[in-house]
Amino acid sequence: MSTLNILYVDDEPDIREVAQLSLQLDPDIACHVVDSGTKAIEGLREQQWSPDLILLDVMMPAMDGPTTLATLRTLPAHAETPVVFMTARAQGFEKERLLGLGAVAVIPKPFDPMNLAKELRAIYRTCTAA
Amino acid sequence: MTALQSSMEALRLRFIARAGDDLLQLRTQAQKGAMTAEDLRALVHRLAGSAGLFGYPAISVLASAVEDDVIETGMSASLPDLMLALENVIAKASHRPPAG
Repeated sequence: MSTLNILYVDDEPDIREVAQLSLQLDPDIACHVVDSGTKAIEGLREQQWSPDLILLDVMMPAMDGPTTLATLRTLPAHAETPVVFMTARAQGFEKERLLGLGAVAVIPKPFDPMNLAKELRAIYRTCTAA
Repeated sequence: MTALQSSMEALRLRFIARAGDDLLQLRTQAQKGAMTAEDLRALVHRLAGSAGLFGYPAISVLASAVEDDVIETGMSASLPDLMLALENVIAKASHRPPAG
């Protein structure tokens, strides 16, 4: 199985830790983790990170998920990098709104730690096959 | 117990420890309204996201309801229910025998 490089952005330390542990269940996932949208954009722009997929928390202080998504879409290298939002507010209208911003999927919090890696692999497969 | 389960248990205990501080903040808010709506929203949003992850779905649901109210009106009539649920979780955790 090919390595899937994921950039994961979440300000909440406990959730970050669980998600990291969950993604480690798949040995072919390489995960880079940052705690803010600002750091994600800095890494993408200045250190030229090149994730296959970006997993983005919605509500974060300073730069929230939607703002981070809009900013990274201005970077030519990431104009089409698949973005998956993760949010505790994944009800109908909010989910539609987030998908309308250009995310390929929305994962509700709490997520299933045993299946997060599989879910992200399936999302990535779907959006790259399209 | 797998490495993931064991790490989740450690994080659950950390969640419980922090729940005491969260409860204190919510009590102060209920009595004095000391927090801004944005700070209150951030606190209950964190609870909504993490409580379910650590096995407390009722807290997650209540925290989401409070968050919805705070977004709409800046306050929530469900705050006492959330505080009660947190009190119950903390009380049960303090009577739970250590794992292993």
